[in-house]
Amino acid sequence: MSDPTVFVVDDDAPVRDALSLLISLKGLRASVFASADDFLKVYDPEWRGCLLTDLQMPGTGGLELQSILRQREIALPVVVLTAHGDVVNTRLALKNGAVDFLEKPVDDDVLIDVLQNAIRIDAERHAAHAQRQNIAHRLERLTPREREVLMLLAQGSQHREIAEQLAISPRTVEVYKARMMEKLQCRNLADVIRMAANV
Amino acid sequence: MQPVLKLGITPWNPQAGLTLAVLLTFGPRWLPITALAILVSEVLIRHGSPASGLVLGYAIWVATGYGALATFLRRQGLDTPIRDSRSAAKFAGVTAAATLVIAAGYGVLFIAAGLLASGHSSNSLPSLWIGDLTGILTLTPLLIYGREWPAALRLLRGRIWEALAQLMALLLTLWIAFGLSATDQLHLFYPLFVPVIWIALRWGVAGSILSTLIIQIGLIVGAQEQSNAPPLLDLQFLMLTLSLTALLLGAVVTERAAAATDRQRAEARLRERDTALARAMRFAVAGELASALAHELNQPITALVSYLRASEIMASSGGTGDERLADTLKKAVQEAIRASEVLRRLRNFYQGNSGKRRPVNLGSLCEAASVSFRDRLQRGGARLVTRVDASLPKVSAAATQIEIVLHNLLSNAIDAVAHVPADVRLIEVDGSQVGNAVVLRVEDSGPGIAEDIADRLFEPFMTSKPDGMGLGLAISRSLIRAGGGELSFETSRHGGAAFIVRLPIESEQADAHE
Repeated sequence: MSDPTVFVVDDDAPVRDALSLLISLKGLRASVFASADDFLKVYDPEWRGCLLTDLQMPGTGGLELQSILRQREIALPVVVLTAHGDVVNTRLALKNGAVDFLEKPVDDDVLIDVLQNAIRIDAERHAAHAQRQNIAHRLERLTPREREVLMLLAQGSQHREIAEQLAISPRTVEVYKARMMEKLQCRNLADVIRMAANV
Repeated sequence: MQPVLKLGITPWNPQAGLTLAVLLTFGPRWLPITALAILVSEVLIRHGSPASGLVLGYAIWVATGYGALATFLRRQGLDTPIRDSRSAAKFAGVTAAATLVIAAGYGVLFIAAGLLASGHSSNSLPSLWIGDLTGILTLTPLLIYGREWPAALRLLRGRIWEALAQLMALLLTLWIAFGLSATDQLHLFYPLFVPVIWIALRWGVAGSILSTLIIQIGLIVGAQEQSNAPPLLDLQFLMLTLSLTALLLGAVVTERAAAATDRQRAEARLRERDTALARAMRFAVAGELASALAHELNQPITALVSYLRASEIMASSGGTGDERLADTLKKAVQEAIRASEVLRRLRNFYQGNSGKRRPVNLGSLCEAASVSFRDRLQRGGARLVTRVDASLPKVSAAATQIEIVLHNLLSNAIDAVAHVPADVRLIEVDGSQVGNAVVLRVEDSGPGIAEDIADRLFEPFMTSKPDGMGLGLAISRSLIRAGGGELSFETSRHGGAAFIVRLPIESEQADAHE
């Protein structure tokens, strides 16, 4: 997994140069692209961070780039930076899922704030994704019997009821439960139930 | 001049005109009263009436005749002041026919009563008829002008010297006709036409009829003064001719004047609209310029601000540099931001003044645009076909802005078709409803758009014309987009350009459709 990076897409060379300089001085990594197509050509799903894009560009514009990202299921958060802060475009960009909309020239503190927020959103998204995958992975290791016990526990059943339903002794239920909790790496029942609900 | 026999024939019968005017103004409810008036006047004029039954029959016949005439004229809409030659001619024709019937019935009544030899009637009947007719033609139109007399008097006050000169001319010609001892028997009647025509030309129908009234009175006075009185029928025909001339000529003048006023008003309206459009267009040009300028300058300013902030960070992080450097860089950033604020304010000023949005009927807008382009189309030898149904749903937009767009697109189309032979210069405007939008297509048979500029067609300062600013299409797209619509381009089936304006249907109507 790579470090979070701000991917700057702007057709104006001095603008992207200045922005990347400023962003890196503020302690973030920056990577620049002269057009939306350039970015899309080399995009790697491992990339983390956020996208900072202009709206009016020759060829693929910012709004178009947003819809291409959605089509290709690229979840990189998008911050739009435009010299044309009109209402129509603002609304469209936000409707397309931009996390923020900034007007040029932008105050660097605001810019860094917004970018850090976008990077955090990306990180959280990935963390959530990773956690879900982790849980799914752990759940996969359960035997069918252990899973049955888990589901019934999540529904709020008592040990005795579970034993009756599964036609086993309450003692065996205890054993299944202990094994299941060990495999899921949970210390108490609340964690188990939360995990089951997340999947 | 005394009444012939006991028929009460005089050169003209103002009472006929008065009777008709009363019936026209107040309606047939007054019929019994007019009949009574006729009866009373008959009894008063002819002391010791020959037969009361006859007089009663006469009064009923005449009153009924005028009643019928008045009803007919009212149905024809001729009970209002005469303003055009058609209604003047109709009024004269209908009245002539009706008075002839009335006079004939009158004669028959008297012959039947044995008061008049049938041989004698051949002379007196025309006199009776023409007397009635002249009376009506002279007096009735003047009386039904009643409501407009105050306005006419005001007009008269403004041109009092002219009116006096015309009156003098009338009196002078009357004196020539009757006062000169060398003239008798109406031989010098024709100068009378001169002042009548003069007055008719200057004052229209109201003045010309008033002038004939004065002449009629003058004629009667003059004819009575003359020792050698002219034959009754001669005098009557002269009066009738004068009345008819005055009425018709006056009506033509009034009609022309009204048409000229209408035309002037229409032209003034058109000019006003063009001025408003030109003003809005200038505003839009300025707005587009401001917007383009803001965009183009904001890029370098953004780079500048970012570089300066970077420099500031570098200057302060070193710790070795002059403190004043960081301070100076901070000030430089503020100045750069101030410059962009100026641009923003400039742009917002024009965006904020984009006009009020209302439901707009594209059909009538297109029609108005094609009217204001008539001259240019003619000069360019181009044919414009507009198929935009007025029943298309209304769109919500600022009408002036749509007009600017139409104006730009039509201007471009006219310029485009100038490059092809005159017989194939065609411009089409089609309107249709597509989903919840109205789509206008403006197509031309010109050479089309070159491929190398098609991509950047809507960018500011893009132009293929040597003297063009390259703002028309940029402005048009901005205006249409500001209204939530879209302006796009494709190649027309006529070979030229097709510009497609999409405008969302006004929401209330759209809701009603769903």
